[in-house]
Amino acid sequence: MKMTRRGFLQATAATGLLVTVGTGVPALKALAEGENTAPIEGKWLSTTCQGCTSWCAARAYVVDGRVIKVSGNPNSKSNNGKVCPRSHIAIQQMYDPDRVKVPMKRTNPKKGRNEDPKFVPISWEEAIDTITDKMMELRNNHEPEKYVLMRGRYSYLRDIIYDATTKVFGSPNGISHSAICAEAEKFGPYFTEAFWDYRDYDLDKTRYALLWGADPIASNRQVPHAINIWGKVLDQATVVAIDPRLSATAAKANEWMPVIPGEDGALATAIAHVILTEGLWNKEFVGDFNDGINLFKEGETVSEESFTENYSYGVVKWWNLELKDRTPEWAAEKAGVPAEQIIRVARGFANAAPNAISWLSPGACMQVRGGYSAMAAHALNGLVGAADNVGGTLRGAKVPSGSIPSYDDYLDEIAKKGKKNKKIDQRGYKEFPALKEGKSGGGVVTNNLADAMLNKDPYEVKMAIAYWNNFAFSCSGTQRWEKALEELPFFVHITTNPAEMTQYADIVLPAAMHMFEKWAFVKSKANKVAYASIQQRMVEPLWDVRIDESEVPWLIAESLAKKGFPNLFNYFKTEFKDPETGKAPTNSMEFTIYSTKMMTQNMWDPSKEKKGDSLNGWQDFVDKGVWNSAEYPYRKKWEDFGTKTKKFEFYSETLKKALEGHAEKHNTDVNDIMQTTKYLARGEMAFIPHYEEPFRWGDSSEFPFVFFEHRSRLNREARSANTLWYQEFKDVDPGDEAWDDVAKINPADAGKIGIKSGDTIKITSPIGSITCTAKLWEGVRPGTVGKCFGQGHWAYGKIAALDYGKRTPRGGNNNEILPADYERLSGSTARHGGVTRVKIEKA
Amino acid sequence: MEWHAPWDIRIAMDLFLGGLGVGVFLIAVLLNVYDKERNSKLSVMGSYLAPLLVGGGVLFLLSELGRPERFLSTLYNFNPQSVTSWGGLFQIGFMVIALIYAWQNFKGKTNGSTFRTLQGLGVLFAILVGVYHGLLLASLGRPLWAGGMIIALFLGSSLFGGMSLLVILRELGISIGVPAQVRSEAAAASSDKEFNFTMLFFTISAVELVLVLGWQFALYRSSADTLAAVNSMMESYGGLWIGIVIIAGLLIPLLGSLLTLVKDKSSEMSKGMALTLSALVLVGSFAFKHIVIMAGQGALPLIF
Amino acid sequence: MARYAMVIDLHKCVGCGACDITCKNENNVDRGIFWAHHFTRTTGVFPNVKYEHVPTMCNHCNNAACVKACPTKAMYKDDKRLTLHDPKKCIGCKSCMQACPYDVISFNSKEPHGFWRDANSVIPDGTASGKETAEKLGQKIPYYNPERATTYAGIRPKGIVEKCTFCDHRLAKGEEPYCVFSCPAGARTAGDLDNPTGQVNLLLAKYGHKQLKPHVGTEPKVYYIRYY
Repeated sequence: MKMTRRGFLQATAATGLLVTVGTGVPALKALAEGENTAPIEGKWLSTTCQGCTSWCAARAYVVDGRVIKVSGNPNSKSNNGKVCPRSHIAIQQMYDPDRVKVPMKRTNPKKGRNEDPKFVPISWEEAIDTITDKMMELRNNHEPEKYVLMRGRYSYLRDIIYDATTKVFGSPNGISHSAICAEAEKFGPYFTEAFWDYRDYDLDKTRYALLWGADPIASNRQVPHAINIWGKVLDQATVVAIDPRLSATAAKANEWMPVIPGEDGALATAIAHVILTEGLWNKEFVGDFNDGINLFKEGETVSEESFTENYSYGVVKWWNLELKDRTPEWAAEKAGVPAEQIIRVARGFANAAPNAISWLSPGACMQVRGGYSAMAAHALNGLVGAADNVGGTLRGAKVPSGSIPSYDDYLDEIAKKGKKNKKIDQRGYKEFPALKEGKSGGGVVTNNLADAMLNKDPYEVKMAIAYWNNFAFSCSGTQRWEKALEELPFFVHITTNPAEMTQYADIVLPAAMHMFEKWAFVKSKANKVAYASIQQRMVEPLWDVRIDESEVPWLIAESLAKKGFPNLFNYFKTEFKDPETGKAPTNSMEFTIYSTKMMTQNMWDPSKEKKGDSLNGWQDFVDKGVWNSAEYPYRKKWEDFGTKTKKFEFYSETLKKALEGHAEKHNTDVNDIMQTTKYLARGEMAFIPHYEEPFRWGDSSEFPFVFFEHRSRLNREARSANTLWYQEFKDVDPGDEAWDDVAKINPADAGKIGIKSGDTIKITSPIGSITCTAKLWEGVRPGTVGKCFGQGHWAYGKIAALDYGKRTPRGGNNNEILPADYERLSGSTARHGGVTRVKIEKA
Repeated sequence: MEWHAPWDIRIAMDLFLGGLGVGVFLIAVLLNVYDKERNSKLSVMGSYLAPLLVGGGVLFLLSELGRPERFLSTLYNFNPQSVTSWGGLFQIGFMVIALIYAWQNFKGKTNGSTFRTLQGLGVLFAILVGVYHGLLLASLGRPLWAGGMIIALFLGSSLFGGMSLLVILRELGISIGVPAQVRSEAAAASSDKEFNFTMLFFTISAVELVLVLGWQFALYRSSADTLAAVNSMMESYGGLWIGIVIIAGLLIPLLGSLLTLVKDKSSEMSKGMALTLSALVLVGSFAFKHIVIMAGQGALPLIF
Repeated sequence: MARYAMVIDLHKCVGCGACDITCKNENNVDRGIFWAHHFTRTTGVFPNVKYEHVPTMCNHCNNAACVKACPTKAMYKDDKRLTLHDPKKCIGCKSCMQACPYDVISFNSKEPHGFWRDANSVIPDGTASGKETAEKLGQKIPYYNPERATTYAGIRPKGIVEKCTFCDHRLAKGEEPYCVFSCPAGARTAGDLDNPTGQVNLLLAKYGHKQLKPHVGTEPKVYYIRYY
């Protein structure tokens, strides 16, 4: 029984408690009498929250030029007008006392964690002038490729700074953060059903949710929608949380499967084994034995001719190569979860099918050998016919946004030559296939950029601009980043806060805060609806900030033009026009707004055909804040998934082609690629979802505990730790404590090493040590230590860091003990699955 | 979340000094009534001390209030359900009576009916204030303070403290502000029906010890809330409780006075013993009140 | 008159803390002070572990211990049976805090919102400070909500206690308490116990309820239904 605000008003008004006056403005007369109820002039304005990857359409209440509250956007069909706790924290993020308020330059040439950069304020003119001097130097030396743009979080105006500015200048090196986010997760659906993206989930109609490390009521992804509907999901469906930690979702789930980190593949293949041996697969989707008799018997191979498949491909090959031996008893030993539970879950999942979801998240696949776990977990959706089906996992409708105008005509000879260079992150090297959408080197290997820079391989980097990111904090093996940034000759950081990465900057540019100070738009999806959502500058920024993705490139282009390189500025001035008036931009803010208008025109222009909301022009879009697509139709892809075989592939011809292509490029075979990328599979195993023994750093005798990390429901991608509300309510993450950074240890383990709750402890992995507080908690698996990501800032501000001036962190950053390793087939950073072992000592 | 007790040591100071004040007052009156001639010097000094001590306690209380300047509003915004409200009234009433009473003593006007009326009213308000201390705690419903025993405990501790303070004055032979005629009267008094301090000392210590142990015993046999509260008190203050409150503050005074009485039931403790034991009682009384007040404020577990 | 009550559906509640945060936001509540909060409990032994998160707030008790304890009638029941507090009468004796079985009353021992008066910058002239931010906006808190001041002190001064008012200022405008409005799970329902067909009574009739510490006799009016 949900009660909307309107429902509440009606219900109470009906009883005479609240008296509805005249125009429908309700007032409680009794209380109103004699009290100051003069209306406060405020207005709800639309925006988008980018505190996590959900990207919720939201609104903010603006009074007298101040943002005072945030809520969900009631026009959104994806979040039911709700936002999660993160959005509210955004207010404290904007009004953070430690915001960078003016451009600054470094006056201490020495760089390092313990070097005070001695930043001093400078004007925007001086800052931009210094930057473009360096850029012109690269162009004059015919080495523009030595310029790198590092992108973190972004809006869809990103291509102005990331793509156009970089390429027109002459560098191929727009390097995104994507591979530290979740590329391995996309590997699963891509090499089964040719979908390189995050899925949508039909929670409204599902009857079974099998969550692979996913914690949807707390993080990743569509969090408010999940929170809003979770009561209903628990009423109508069975929820199973596979996680070494009793996550927020596990705490409310019907079953908790506390898997040993990295052993997800064992569970997934065993569940598939049970589904096949018990004849529970979806006959409509997968097909059946020709004579209707189930020949899938433990340990026995089956002839491929005996089975006819419908919308899938290779189920018998998968059985013969892998599944026939993957019994629940075998998996129980690997994964540390009882066989009976595996069987129960497999049956429940298959019996609920096709209204069932196998929900893959980074935890189950951002592992050194996690690519095949991703495939196995996602393949379960195919096995039970849940892929693209009612109550299952879905793709998303299309958001018909535009892209930036072509800049081809503005590339000069230097640029053309420069941008032909290899990208700096070593993507496509033999050890980094990064097979985004099946292409060798198609995806980014974000975290490897540090090593590439240090090794000057493929070449040296001479300058970099980074925005909305903090790789020296957010990438595992941060020590390498600190070193790489120390050695980088010229570095510009566009940032709201003096972050860890900022400490290495030569020039610091203060950025507008995305939710209330920017013009931009984003696209996302949830609840079967895809959408575009606006971000608008609703209050005048307090500080001398510029919008990172649009204003800063404009200023750079303008300055470059003055110094003899006008191409970029000409491109901006010529190709970007106000679609309503046809006017060309004359300043950075006009440029920003026109860009936003152009790229969203298909949505707000009533004359454009599209499947979804009809809006009445640009202002209507700004007011409503969101354009919703029509609902995504079920089974849209069944006839052609877009894979090599057009089918849902249990034996991935698509992956085979991709791997063989990569091997060919390096004059070798797939087995060699497997070995180079740390995989154990050989032969045809490389093309099917299969179990791989987890790869861990550290010897178990020296490092007895398996370390895993998780996300906070209050993390705004590690940008909220400098707010009071984050710290005061950190204990809403199960097991965590307010104002602290705790490592959660099972009491049985802690007893053995003499650690008590509240002890200050040192956690050491083969690459480094951090100090934090011990918390004895039954919600973690014995033998493992779990810790939330987000604390441990040694910069960023006076709350995030215990002592900013002394570089003393509040707790410890997990990335200082997590080694830089990769799921190399996708290029993804491998931060999960117990990638390292650790030891724990009292500090 | 870091937890702070709403009331700090200043409330313990209020209840301790206030308790001493009313204790001194009551014992002083007792001396005056029982043996006016012989003990009038102590009785007079007690009448001075009582309002000073209670007033000192009130100053601590005021300093603990967030808005001390609004203290008198407890009179005109009086809430009859609130023990705190009544406490304000009692303390103010006692102060007024005790100050007039002290003035009468100072002036040596200790024979008239006014004096007797004041004495009677003073006793009434002293008891009310003494009872209020425990009642205040009991009224707040916190597990450690619940039940009526806390009232007797605080009153007993107050009397014992007041008694000890007078014993100290007596042994040190202090004489301040005592009218000349009183001093000479005292010297001339005969010695046949002497007030025996040691007997009273022994009696109060015995009663208080039984009360404290009985209270603690009862707590250990109570509901989960109360048990949690007493366990948490012993966890945080167990050493002080046993060492200072029970042993030093009650048991040793009990045994010391008993030893003296066993030798000769009409004899008094030696000067050294009287001073030592009385000092212990004062320390014990303060420790008792402080521990009970602090421990009683412990965070309460929330349960359905 | 009405008898306001809150129903919290623990089945829908996901323990996210949005109520806690937005309450501070709506009511200009300082660091360290909580009108809305929660307790959590982990029971059992791995792997049979149960974790519960229970949101808490002033129970607006029918038989309010704080009202009885208050020596100056600063804490009082209004005609809607809300437990409210008059900051002008409060002497800061904290008797109400001692009397409340739920620890939901807080004391302002310091001038509130000192965070926004801190003039320190981590990078002199390069980064802002709390003071500079607040002063630029002409407010004691950058996101100060002036609507709070329509029925209570907008920011409660040093020396007095403060607590949840059931967002009486919002009720006065016909709006729900802000925690109800902001709960993304739709787990909270506010309404009138005297309305037999209102949502509150419908939910209580359908699911039964629990209250915190019913045995202490305060007759709390925050009702918990179902299980976390």
